[in-house]
Amino acid sequence: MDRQEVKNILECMVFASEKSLSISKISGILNLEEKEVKEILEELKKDFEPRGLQLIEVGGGYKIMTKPQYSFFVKEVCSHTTRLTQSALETLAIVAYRQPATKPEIEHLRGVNCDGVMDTLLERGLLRIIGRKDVAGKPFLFATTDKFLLYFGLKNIKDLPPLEEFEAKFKENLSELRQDYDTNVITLDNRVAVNG
Amino acid sequence: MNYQVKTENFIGPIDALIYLFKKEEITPEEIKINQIIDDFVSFLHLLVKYDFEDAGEFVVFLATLIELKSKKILPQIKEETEEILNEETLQELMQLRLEEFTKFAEAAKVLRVKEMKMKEIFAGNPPLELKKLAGEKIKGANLQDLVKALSEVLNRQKNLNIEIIREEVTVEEKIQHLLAKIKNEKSGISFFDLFADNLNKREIIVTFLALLELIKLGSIYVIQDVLFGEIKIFMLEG
Repeated sequence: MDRQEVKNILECMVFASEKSLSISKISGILNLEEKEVKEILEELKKDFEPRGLQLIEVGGGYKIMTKPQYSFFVKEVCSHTTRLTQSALETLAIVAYRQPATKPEIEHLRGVNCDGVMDTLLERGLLRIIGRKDVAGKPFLFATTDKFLLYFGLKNIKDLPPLEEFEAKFKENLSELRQDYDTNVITLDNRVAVNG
Repeated sequence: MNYQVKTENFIGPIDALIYLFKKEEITPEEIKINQIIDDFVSFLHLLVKYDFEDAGEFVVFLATLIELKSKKILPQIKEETEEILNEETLQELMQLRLEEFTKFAEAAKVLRVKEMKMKEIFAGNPPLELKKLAGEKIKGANLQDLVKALSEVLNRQKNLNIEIIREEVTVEEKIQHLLAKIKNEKSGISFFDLFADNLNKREIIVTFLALLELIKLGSIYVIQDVLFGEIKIFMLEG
């Protein structure tokens, strides 16, 4: 098998696979070194550059998808308009960073019951149960799936921005708010002083 | 009451014992409840005339002692923490939880942006749509699904408005009838087909009960491939 032939096979496999196709799976099927598979996939990625499709790294593997700049036209023939609800996103965010997480932990953070939203996320394959926590009541432990990564276009779970970043952002917002508050109070005091 | 409790390290009235126990000068192990009760009962036997008020008082103290001891020897559950939370610490906790949650709310925003970005690119067929995975399509129907389907059957029957001659069928007969019917259909029989021949309300209910019984016995199983979809009934082999 020459290299072009292998590249063609890889292209077909990635194209036909519903899930994102991992290097280890490809190397198992084709009996090739993972390093070599990765090399060929990188070549394939370059081959796609002048074309409408792209080969992207997502969900722990590779996938062939359309390029975003053509979405305006593609949407005319293939639209997917479903959006996750805010509560679903918050729940996913908590599980993604805390995994494995239990329902009580999630509910404690969100401050509301999460039964419905957890069921929906399980049904949609974005979350999965990976076991039970060894505490009173033995609650289920939830984790995110490869489909979760695929849905949000993440290579792997480490692709998520670190949570500390958000903490810094939150503190920043808070200090800004405090500053605003302080200046407002001062101007108010000054006005009183001037008027008085 | 002048009855004196005697234990290894204590002789005196029971209220004094309780007092010392509360002050932890006497350990729970030192207080043998059954010993105290035995002593008290034998003391009562010695009396010619009972003073019910005094004896009653002693029983109350004894009960208090039992409660105290059982509380001491049971593993401590830190429930008190919630009670002693004053307004300030409560607010602090709320603030902490809010801060913690705010981080995830920010993370949710990032996820939303990523979701929107992914909506701009498309995989071929099958599309990256949020629907049930093909492999997970077949799923056991639960009781709720069955009851929902039953109410639909009853609704259909309501609209028929046909004069019905009463013919009593028992659940046992219906079970045999259903088994024969389902056995013939290798690819499963639709839930609604079971109720197809204009049954009256009683027969519908008897059929439904027979169905539940068969599920309980494990002779049949029911599946519903999509939410609110058709429910199919299969025979279990063996």
